[in-house]
Amino acid sequence: MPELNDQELEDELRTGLNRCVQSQASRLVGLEERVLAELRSRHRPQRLSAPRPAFGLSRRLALATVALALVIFAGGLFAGMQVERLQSGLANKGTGVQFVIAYPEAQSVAVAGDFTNWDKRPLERGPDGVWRLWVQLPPGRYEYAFIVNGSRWLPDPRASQFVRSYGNDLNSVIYVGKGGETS
Amino acid sequence: MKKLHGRGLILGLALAALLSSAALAATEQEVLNLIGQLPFSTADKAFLSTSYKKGMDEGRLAPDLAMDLLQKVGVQSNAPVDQRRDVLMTIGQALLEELPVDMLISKAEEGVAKGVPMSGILQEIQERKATLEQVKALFEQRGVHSNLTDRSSPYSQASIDAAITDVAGSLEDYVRGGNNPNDAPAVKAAVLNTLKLDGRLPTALVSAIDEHFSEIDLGTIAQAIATRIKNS
Repeated sequence: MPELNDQELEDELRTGLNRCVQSQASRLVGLEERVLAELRSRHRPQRLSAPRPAFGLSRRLALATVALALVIFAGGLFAGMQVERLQSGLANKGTGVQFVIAYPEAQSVAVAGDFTNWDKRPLERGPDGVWRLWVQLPPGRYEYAFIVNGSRWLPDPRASQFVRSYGNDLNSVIYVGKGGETS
Repeated sequence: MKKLHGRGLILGLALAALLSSAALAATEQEVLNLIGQLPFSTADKAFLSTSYKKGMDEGRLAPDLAMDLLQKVGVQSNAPVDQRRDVLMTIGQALLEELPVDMLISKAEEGVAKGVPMSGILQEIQERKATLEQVKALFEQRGVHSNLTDRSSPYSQASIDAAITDVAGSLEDYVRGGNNPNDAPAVKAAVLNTLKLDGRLPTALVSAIDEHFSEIDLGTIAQAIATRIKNS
């Protein structure tokens, strides 16, 4: 076979390619439409699936995290409700009541009553010799008395009502109304 | 995958509920455990367990208050065992009769705090229990019920218990204060004054008591209190 120069080789290639294209020309008819149809058939709308785990976590790990968070939240909610219930005698919806008695010569003054289960709760002495204590009381009726120097029981001279208890003892009474008013 | 989501959620909430209920049950159980350790007979401890558990279950006896009472009267007191037992059992009997016991427990703890002999504490709470019984009977006779007894009633058990306590307490205060138990109008006025000042009571309940309880109703109980005190 004689050697072809570059130009002759190019001509031979072009001729051969044209002959191939011509022979397949029939197959090219409607090619564009067939390709588009094939593409459409492959592009089906996808169903919405569950959201993908964020930040690359696996789905099971995400579920476990959510469950743990719910347990912690629910547990905290229940615990908080119980703490609130236990503290309700003093802190919830209560009125701040100040117990006051002027007794400069006393070494100690405490108050005891229905709201302390009759346990003695110490008052604080001010520089003016007046003893004071703030207590949060929910609405209700409360009997109480002061205890001076650990053993001497006295009614509150500022109270509006006194009641007898255990013979000759006098207790003071304080009422806390619905709106927090005291009497 | 959906099943896994649901199961995880249910398991988490069930665990939280179990932990919470365990915390609540422990306090009531502590009360029952303490009763079991008291130096009383088996039968007496069984009575206390039954009655105090009923009180706690019905919301008339807070477990922490029960613990406080049992410690002060049952454990720490140096009084004779039978007197300590009788004080605790008087309160237990009141719980079985579905009486409010706050006033009885408060009087017992006040007596302990003031060094009153246990026999004196026992007498005081027995007298006041009798008054509570009469007042509760009056509430029932006059048709003032809680919504547990009468579904149509607008009053909670807590409100009715507070009202019974206030009526009984004010009658006791009136008579022990040296006032005339035969002055029925004055008796009723004293009772209503207490009810109106106590912020726990619904206004409608106070009005119902004013409407349904006559001066004679309350005067009769005041006279009974005076008789008990005189005979004690």
